[in-house]
Amino acid sequence: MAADVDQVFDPDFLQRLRTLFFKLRRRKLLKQKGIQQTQALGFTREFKDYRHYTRSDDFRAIDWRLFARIERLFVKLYEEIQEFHVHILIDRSGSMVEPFPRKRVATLRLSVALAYLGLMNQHRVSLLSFGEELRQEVPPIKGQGHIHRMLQHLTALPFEGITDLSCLKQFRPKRDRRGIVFILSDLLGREPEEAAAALEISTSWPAETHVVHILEPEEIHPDIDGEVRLIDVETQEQRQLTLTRRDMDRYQEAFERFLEELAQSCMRRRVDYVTWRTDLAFEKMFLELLSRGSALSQG
Amino acid sequence: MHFQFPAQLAWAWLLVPVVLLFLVRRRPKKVKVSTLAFFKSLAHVYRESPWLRRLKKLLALLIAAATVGFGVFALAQLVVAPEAGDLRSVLVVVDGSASMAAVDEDGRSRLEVAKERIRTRLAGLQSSVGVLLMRYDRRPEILVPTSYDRRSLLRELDGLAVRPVPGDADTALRLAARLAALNAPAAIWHVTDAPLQVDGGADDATPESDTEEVVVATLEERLGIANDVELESMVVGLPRATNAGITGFQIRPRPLERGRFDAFVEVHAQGPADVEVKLEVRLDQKLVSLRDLTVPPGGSERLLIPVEGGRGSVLTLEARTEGDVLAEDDSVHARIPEARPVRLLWVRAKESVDPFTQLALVALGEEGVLEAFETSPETYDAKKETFDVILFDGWLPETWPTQTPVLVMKPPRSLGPVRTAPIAGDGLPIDELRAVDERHPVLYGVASDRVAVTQTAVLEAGGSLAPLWTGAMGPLLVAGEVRGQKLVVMAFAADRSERLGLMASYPLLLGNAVFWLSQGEEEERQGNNLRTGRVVEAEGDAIVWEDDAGTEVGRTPLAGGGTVAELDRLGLWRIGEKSGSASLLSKSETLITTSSDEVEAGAATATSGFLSGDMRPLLLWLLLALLVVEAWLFHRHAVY
Repeated sequence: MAADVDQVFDPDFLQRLRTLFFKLRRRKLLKQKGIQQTQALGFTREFKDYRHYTRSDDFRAIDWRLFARIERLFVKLYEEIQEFHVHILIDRSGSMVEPFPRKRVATLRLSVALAYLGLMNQHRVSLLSFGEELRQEVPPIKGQGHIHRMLQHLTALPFEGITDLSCLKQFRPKRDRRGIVFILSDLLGREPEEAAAALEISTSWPAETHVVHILEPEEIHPDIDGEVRLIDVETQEQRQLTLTRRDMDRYQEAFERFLEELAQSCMRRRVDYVTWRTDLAFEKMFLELLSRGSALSQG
Repeated sequence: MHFQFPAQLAWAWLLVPVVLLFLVRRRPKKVKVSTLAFFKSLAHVYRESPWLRRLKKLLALLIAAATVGFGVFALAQLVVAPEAGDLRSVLVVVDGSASMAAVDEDGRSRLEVAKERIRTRLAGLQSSVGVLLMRYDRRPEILVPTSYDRRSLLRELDGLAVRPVPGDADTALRLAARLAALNAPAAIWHVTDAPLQVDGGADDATPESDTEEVVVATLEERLGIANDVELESMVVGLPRATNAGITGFQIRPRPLERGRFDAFVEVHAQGPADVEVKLEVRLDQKLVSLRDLTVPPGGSERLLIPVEGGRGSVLTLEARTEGDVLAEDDSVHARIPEARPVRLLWVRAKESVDPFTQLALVALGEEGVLEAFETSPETYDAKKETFDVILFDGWLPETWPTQTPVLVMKPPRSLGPVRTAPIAGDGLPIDELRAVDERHPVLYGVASDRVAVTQTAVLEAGGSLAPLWTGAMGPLLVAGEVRGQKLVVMAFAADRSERLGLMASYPLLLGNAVFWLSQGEEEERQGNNLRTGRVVEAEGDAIVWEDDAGTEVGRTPLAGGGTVAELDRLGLWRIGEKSGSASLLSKSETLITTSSDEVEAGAATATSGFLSGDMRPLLLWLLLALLVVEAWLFHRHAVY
């Protein structure tokens, strides 16, 4: 447990995340709230700047005090504070830990970072896991103080069983729980086509969906040759094969085609899709997410 | 079942590493993967159930063990020999006579087929069985004494060749029977193209339809084969054959015509239908005559060809036939002999007064072809007489002379080969004779249909004595050759005959008989026109063989001081000052025995013997098949 915590919890890295916050790309998903709206509804008002009044502006926004001093009409601009839900969906199937444990570690680290970021920005963060079925691990929580709870749940999460991506249909966030959905999975189901079909449900969610495809380089370029007995870590199904280099080239072509079709499918559905290779530096990958205009933004 | 080289079975220890390798075999590397979905998409991925995998592992072990086993058995030369039994020795008696050179449609001689058959059978013998290899033609020859060394035996077998010599199977088999009895229980494998006949008549070409058991039992008795010796005939005859050959040939002076000769030729033929034969006669390589003959299957044609050649000229006769399978009997050569009068001893009984015989002999003597010496029974001494022909006239000695050709007139009783029953009184007049074989040399020029004789006895014709004239009571003129001795018997009296004594036919008949009888002796003396296989006495270093033009075509050094030589080739020969010619002249060799039944039986035996004999080829094929199966089962996907 301690080791797991050390692996997934990097205080220095998390400290650096304080300068980051979530940013919705599609604001229309959230209702524009006025100054009267309370924080409980998810909005706050803080003065940011002035600008000249124009006809289409609401006259109630005119700063009369400033008009009294300089006799010119200005309206106040307020910084909009978004408060929304952050849903983190983790693939807890056996393929996330075997035969490449780095996938689990990467998944947990990424989950902790996302949860920390959400909690730090006063969003409501919930944690769900899916394998054969969808399961809520941590209900929506808010506040930085809950990061340890989140961390405990994550490190204690068992990775086992098979992947049934169709269970994502069981995830139905309420309309008042709009926000961001992060799906952290290797998306390796029974058939390659299953992943794209399962992600189609995300279009019905009142949230931005971000698919983080956790992959081990060995899965893309397996180093297998000769007569082998392959064992599916999820189903324990075995196949004895005699593999040649040409076979492995064909495997690689099929896998890359799978990734490409997945990316195209997500793009068509306006779902953000990121391939997360576990051999690359975690922080670098995280910042790349930032730079490619994803759900993160820099303050 | 046994192994020729049991020591090679030590290679079976190779099975130990095979089993060990199976037990500690390298298992396929287990690789855990996140999903099999992409591997399943590979085309040649095959899924095997656990029981099939276990079966294949076991099969792999069995294939490896069988591969080693087959290899070891092949090295040890596994032999399945159900017929070997408890034999101690096998005597392989191979017919090496001229007829074994007959070729089939594929150009294979009978001897080659025989070698192949023997090789197959030898491979099926246990190594503890001694094998003796004997060949024979006119005489038997032991090539390899009883030996256990199969390789030297096979070397000798490979070197075995046909000699253009008539065969004498009886002598060889009698010798084999005696040798086999020394190392019994034994088997005699008689490999020949003509199955033995019960009566020993090798000249009778067509086998009778006796059952095999009866034939073998009779043969064993005739050949003196012991009970613990088994005689097995391996017949390699042609299924069908067309052959014509010269089986009789003589050059003899024409009676009453000094300095002129007749070439007597007899052509036998064998075939499915009448055989057309072209007979070319050459004198000193120049074609002097061409005859077309039509010979019925198994029959013969005889003819006399006048020859006018000087002394020393070479006469060549060649019979050409389409589809002829045997070349050795197609030609004969002879030198025109030196004319020398025949020495005749006339032993006449006192009561036999026959002026016509005396008149005929005097006439022949005047021609210079005959010298007749008359004597009485009291002064006759068989041991001292050195004549070409003896004429017994109305009298027979106590002991039959076996060394000299004999002409018997009016035989008073039976003696030796002469079987007769005298007719009481003055005999039986016969107005009309029936000439049984008008083409016989004895009847050449004789008007058989015009003579009327008085028969004095009834002759018994049988075996090799052929009846020439037959009357109401039976044969009265017979001629033939009994145990190498020529014989003519006349059972009629010329002086009491109505139409004979004063006719030209009588001196012709007498002259023909004397010359025919003396011909062998004369040729023997001169060495001319001898049958191959004969041994001649001569002084010299080597026997030189020549062609028609006198060109040397071969030379064989004489062994044993150079006094005797065996005529084992066809053609003209010369040893020192002595010269002559050798020809096959064998009816038994010319009349090729067709043995379709035996060939089919042999083929059937070969088919049924697929799992018998030398198993090496089968084992090697099985080994190869196993390797192919193993590669297909386990490595067909491992092609990079």
